[in-house]
Order: sequence, then C-alpha cells, then structure tokens
Amino acid sequence: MRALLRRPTGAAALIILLLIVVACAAAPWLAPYHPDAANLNDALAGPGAAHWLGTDELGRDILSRLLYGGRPALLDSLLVVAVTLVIGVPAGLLAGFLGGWADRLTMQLVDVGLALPAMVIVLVVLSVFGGKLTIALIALGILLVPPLVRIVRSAALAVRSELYVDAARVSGVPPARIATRHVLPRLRGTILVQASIVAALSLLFTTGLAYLGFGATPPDPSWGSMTAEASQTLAQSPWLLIASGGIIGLTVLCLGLLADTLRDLTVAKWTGDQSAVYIPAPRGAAKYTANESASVGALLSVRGLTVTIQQNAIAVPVVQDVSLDIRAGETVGLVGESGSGKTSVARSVIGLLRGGARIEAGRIVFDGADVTGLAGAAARRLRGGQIAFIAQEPMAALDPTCRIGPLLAQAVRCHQQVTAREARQQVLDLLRQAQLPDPERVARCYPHQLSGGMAQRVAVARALAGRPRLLIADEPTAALDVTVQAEIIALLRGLQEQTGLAILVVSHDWGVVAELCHRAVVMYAGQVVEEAPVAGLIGAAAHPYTRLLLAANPAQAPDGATGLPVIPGTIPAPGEWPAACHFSPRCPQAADACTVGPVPLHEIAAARRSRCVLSATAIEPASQP
Amino acid sequence: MWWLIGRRLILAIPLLFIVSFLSFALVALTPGDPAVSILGSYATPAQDAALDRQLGFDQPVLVQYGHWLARVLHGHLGTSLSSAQAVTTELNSGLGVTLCLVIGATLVTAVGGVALGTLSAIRGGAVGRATDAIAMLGFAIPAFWLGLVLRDLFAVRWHLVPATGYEPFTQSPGGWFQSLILPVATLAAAGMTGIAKQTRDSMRDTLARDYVDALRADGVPEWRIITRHALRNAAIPVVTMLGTFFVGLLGGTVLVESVFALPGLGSMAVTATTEHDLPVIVGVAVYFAVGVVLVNLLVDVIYGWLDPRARVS
Repeated sequence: MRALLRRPTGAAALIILLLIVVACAAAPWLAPYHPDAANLNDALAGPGAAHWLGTDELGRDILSRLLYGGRPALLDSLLVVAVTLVIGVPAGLLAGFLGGWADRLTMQLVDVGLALPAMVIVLVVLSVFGGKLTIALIALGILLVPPLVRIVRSAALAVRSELYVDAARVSGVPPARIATRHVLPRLRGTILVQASIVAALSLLFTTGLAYLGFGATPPDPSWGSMTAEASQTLAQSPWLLIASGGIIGLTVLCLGLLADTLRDLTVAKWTGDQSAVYIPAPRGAAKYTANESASVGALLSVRGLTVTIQQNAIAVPVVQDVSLDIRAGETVGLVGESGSGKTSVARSVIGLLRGGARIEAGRIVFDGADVTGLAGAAARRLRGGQIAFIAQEPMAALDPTCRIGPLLAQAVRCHQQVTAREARQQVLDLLRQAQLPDPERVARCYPHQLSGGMAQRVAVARALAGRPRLLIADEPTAALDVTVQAEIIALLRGLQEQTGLAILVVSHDWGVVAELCHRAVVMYAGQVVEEAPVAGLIGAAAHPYTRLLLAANPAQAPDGATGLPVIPGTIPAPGEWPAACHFSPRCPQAADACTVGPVPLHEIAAARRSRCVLSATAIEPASQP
Repeated sequence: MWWLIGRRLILAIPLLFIVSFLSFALVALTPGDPAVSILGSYATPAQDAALDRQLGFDQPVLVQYGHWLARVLHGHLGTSLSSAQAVTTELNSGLGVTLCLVIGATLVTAVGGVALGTLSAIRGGAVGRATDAIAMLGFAIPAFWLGLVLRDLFAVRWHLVPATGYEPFTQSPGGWFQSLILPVATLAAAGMTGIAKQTRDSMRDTLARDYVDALRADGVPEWRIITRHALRNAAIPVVTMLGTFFVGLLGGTVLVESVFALPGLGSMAVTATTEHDLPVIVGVAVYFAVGVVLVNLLVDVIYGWLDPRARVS
C-alpha cells in the first residue's frame, strides 16, 4: 500500500477513484439538486455557476445526475467483482494447489468458459428473467471467472513448487492450512490486480447494458443511460455526452492504471528487476584511446579494450584494458572462470555486446582497419563475412520457426551475390563440410528436430557461410556431452588445417584449449593475467591463478586423487575489484607487494606475459627440474 | 497439425452443448406458461394445455432439450415469437452485416495492432510510452461512447459518411464500405491497443533472444531480422490471444450495431431481449458460439503454421 502511494500514477489513480466512490456514495449530501428536478426553462444549458456541468434536455442538473448515476454503476460492478472473486479465487487456488484431475477438470471448464460470448449470454439471462438485472449481474460475474481462475492457478502453481511450501508440507502442516496461510498471501498482489481488471470490465459491461436500456429504470439516472440520453441531444449540446462518457472512461482508466501499478509492484517484489534487453551501443559514444599501436601482421588486434555496464547510473567495468593479437591461421584460447569477462571481449570484437554493455575505451583492429563500434552496413559486412561468431548455446542460436536450409542460405546470400539455387547448393556443401550426415535432410529440418551435437555442427557450417577469416567460438563444447565434444574439437581443428581460418576459442575448459589452441590468454576479473603458448603454459604457468585453474581441471588431476583442488573464494563481481592485483584476495602466495597498487602485465619470456609481481621468480622452480 | 485441429474440434463439442443447454435450461426455467404468453389471457386453460402439448412444453426439460437439439442439428432453431419467422431465416438476414463488421474489425485490429506494437518495441522510448498511454485509453473508453463521438463528428458534423444504417455490398460497394468504416473503427479501437501492447511485449522478448543475436552475427540486416524472423516468433503468443479477443469483439458488436443502427445479429439480440423473444436470443447465442469455435480452429491453424514445434505430438 505504501509502495503503491509512492508511484505517482498509482497514487493518483487510487485517489481519484476514492474521490469518485465517496462522492457518489455521498450524493444525497453533495448533489446541488435533486437528480430528477426538471426545469424546462433551463434545458441543455452549458456549464455555468448554477449548473457546473450544465443541464440535460429536461433541464436537470448533470452533476447531480452523475453523482446519483454512479451509485447503480458502482454497486453493480461491486456485485460482479464479489461474485467473480468468491468463485474464481478458491477455484484457481484449488486447481493450482491440488493439481491432478481437479486441475485438468478446472482447466477444461475454463477453456469452455473463455469461449462463451458473455454479452449475449447476459442478454439471454436478462430476457429469461424478465429484465431482472441482479441475476444478469451474477451471471456476468460467473462469466468473468475463467480468466481469473487461469491466472490464480498459474500463480498458485508457481508458489506451490517453492521451497518454503515444500518445507511446510514436509513438517506436516495440513494442505488447507498451507493453501490459506502460505500460498494465499503470496497471491494477494495478483488477486488485487485481477480484482481491478474485473471491476473495470464489469463497469464497461454494466454501463453498456444501461446504454442499451437494461439498467436503472427512468427517470433514475445511471451513467450508461445518461450516455444514451446524450446521444439524442448530441446535435444541440455535446456536454451531456462528454460528462457521462468521461466519468465512465475516467473510472475505468483509474482502475486500469491501478491494476498496472499493482502488477508492476507484484512483479518487482517477487522477482527483482532483471532485464536482458539488447540495447545497441550508442554510436560514436566510446572514447577510443590508442595507447598501444596495433601489432603489424596480426589479423585481429585488440588494444586496451575496456567494456562497461551501467549499474545504478554508474559505468562499471567488466573488461579492463585487455589487449590480444591473433595471427592468420592461429588458434587462440581465451580462458577464465565465469564472470572473468572473456565473453564480453569476444562479443566486443563482433560488436554484439549484450545487456547494455558498451566499449568505453580501446581499439579493435581487424586486418589493418579499425572496426571498433562499427554500425550499419559496414558492421554487417564484417559480421559473418570477415568474423564469424558461434554463440554458447547452439540450439538457442537457431530461430525455432526457420528451417536450417533457408537460414544458412540467407547467411550465404548476405555476403555473396548468388542465386537462390547456388545458395542452396552452397548450404549443402557447408553442411557436408561440417560433417553432418545426410545434408539434404538436415537442410529440411527445423531446429527442434536436431540433436545438440547436430545443432553445433550446423552452427559451424553457418559460421563458414560468409567465408570468414576469423571464427570466434564461445564455449563451443560446453553444452555437449564428452564424445560429441571430441568430435566438434576434431572438426574445428580439421577446418583450420584445411582453410587456414584463425580461431578464437572462449572456454573455461583446459582440455579444449590444450587440444585446439596454439596460444592461451588467461583472464581473471576483467584483466588478462597471463598469456603464453599452450605447450609452455600447461607445465609451467607463471601466474598463481593460472596454476590453480589448471589444477582445478578434472583432466589434469593426478590419477587416484580423492578430491579436486578448488580455488578458495569466488571471483569478485564487477565493481568490487581490488585496485591492486585483482586476484590477491584469493591468492595463496599473496604478499605485501601484491596490495600496493595495480600490477602491470609484463614480459617474462619470449611471447609470454604475466600480471604477477612474483612471476619473475615463480617461473624459475618449474624450469629447474 | 490435423491432430491439433481434431483436438480443438473435440473440445468444441462440449462448448456447443454447454451454450445450447444453458440457453435452453434458462428458457425452460422461465417463470410462467409459454402457452399463456403466446395465446394471451383470453384463452381457456384447455387451449393452453393443448398448445403446451403441441409445442412439447409438458415434457421434462431434458426431453425438451433432446427434441430441440434434434431440430437444431437439422438446421431448425425454432420460430421467432415476435415475427413468426423461422429463427434461422431471421438471423441469416443479419449474419452478413455482423460478419463484415467482425471480420473487418479483426483485420484492422490485427494489422494495426501488430504494426504499432512492433514499432513501439523497436523504437522504444517515447513511442513505447505513447503506445502504453493509448492502449490504456483504448481500454478505458467505452465502445458505445466512442461510437457516438465518431458518429457525431464524421457523420453528423462533417457529413463524410452516413450516420447510421447499412448498405449491402451487392447494392453499392462504395456505400457498403462507407457504412462500415465507423463501426469497424469503433470496434477495432479497443482491441487494437490491446494487441499492440501484447505485440510490443512479445517483440521485446523475442529481440532479446540468442537467435536474434546469431542472425546479427550472420550479417543479416536488421529490418530483415525483424520482418523475416522476429515478427513470426513474436506473433505466436499474440495469435493465441486472438481467440479471447474475438469473444470480446462479439460483445462489442452488440453495442456498436445499436449505436450505428446496423441490422446485424447484435441489434437483433437487443431487440429480442426487450421483446422477450427467447428463440431468437438463444439462436444468436448458438450462432456466436459456432463463430467462436470456428475462430478458435482458425487460430490453431495459424498457430501451427507459425510454430513448427506445435505441429508435432
């Protein structure tokens, strides 16, 4: 309630609604005239001092009639809401909470109920019961039950599977008590939202009925019948129509806004506010500083890349000053735990950062051209045509409504001027190149007809469609089982040997990196901590983090080891990185020197770099067997 | 696909039974003797009883329902009490008007709502907020009131279209079109904003999916991603809403036909209610229920066409 009042629209809606209800309830005291007091000398007057909202065709005061006319409209709606809630809430709660046949039966009835044309059924009831409005309103209340049942049921289902409900069940609390004490309070928000919506709908409905002449008996005023009267005198005076329709609209509007605000509050309360919306990076907003020149001869050169996300209006870095090079035909592994920023680096290269992340500083040079923050046609030519990207989940990367053949043909035709027929032929060749059995059949498949391994092979074929020179594969094997992993690694390796493609593999799996990569770049908390040829790194890592990461890998564990060593602590979240060495709080070898200030990445041997103050000495024990 | 349609047809049977039985049971429960109301107060009790027997009103309700159902299956919905015409004849004369109105409103709603919602999802910001605001207004403004305002402005004040009445297409295509513009606009206004909002949410959700990113990574142009891929995926939840939307639309026609004095099923229902002409009003309920069943079938076909996953199992 207090939260509701803090939202301006919600508070305004509630206050206006209360004012309308109170004013109508107090009509006998507030109304300046008797609602039926006619004065033909003063008919169809506009708003003025005597009649604030003017008069109707019989000279009756519109304001007074609106105040009195609101009583049947609001009372009718109240009755409808009461009927709907009394039936709908227990039914939805029981269906969701009991499940099984009770649920199935209820949902069948709901399906039928949703298909009933409410307006006509209410007219049938009115006709049968000789215009008795109360019975028709009860019927309307019943007709509005099905949508409510559906919503309450799914909310109850969600709550039912939560831990604290399970705990209550295990500790022997009777089901009825769980339903009323534990589940119902959680549904309060949902029920309030639905009550507002039902109230709005029934107000529209009952005023509609009154407009048709099935409501208060003349001369008693009601909002709907006043609208009907207004339509007779519309040519002479639009005032009555504006006032009568306006008050209906205003009341429904307030109920709708109230429902919207309540829904927002309910959602925010139970799920928190998480948004995963793709926000294109603002063009030209990044400050690119070329603090290091791109290396000559590298196909891809990333220099001083810093990526930030917006957290509470503060730009928090997720990638800090990352530089790396990939030569043509080289395979580089980008290694680190989840949260190290490796995927952000990969996505920066192709300009597809997610969740509002953007490049704050740095330069990305591809084949001698600056491609940092490219947009429009230039970005499209680069993506797929020069740099291909394989995302983490092979299945999620496929449009579920599109067959594989047309999807790949589209990728082909984005980069080559070929006929549809030639594109189809190329697609089959690509699928064959990715070693998919029966390419014709695969091309006709929808994504849901593929296995995970097939989907990953399709992703590889798709990546090759634009004949790229660099392939970025984000965790290419994470979602696959072990035998398929080995096949995909073999496939990527074969492709590289055949085509001379450069590959950047993003992975946390040393097995993949050891099998596939020439060089590894290790990242921790947004920084590169070590860079070395894979062969030299596996045996003699210079950085304590790399050593621990290697030791924590199941494939590297000595035979017969009882437990896998783990790195104590967790990777700090962006924004909580230490100013000095990012790894020092978790590092078993941390010394005073580690916490003095930022540690630079320094050359420790040919083609080897490390960001550790101890590196120079740490590498020695390994090289002296 | 066929499995899906078959399942929906099976689901439709209880719906038709429930609508017809509800209507029928209500009629049977009506206080007073039907013969008395037909013959008036001057008939003798013997005459009343004879007519009751002739019309089958002396039988138990379920037996009466059985007879009624058998007649309905042969295409007879009884005789109108006020016009003495066969109910089907009377209703069929209004069916065309209502069909034009409902189909027109559905098309305008679907096309306009999806376009507006997509625009709002892509542009966001001010357009999104405007869509929200208009959607809220569209929900809050009563259809009959909007109809009156449109009629007053476009027909009475500016003489652009006729205020009321209907011209069949066969007589004058132009007049037919003009007589339908305002009613269709009135009906579509409420639904369109709702569909736009739904489309916006669904489109936003779709555009945040991995496969949209993957398409960007392919180098596919943004407009093509939206028209060829996102729209189809975003339409799936919107289409499932169309069935419910159509049920609301049928309620709207009752009011809108009254406002524009269109001789359709809706205004027949209103007249029948004031005249207590039960066979006619029950007939309208049956017609509408059949309409809902057909629309749900159509929704399933569209759904299966949009989403290949729905075609299996």
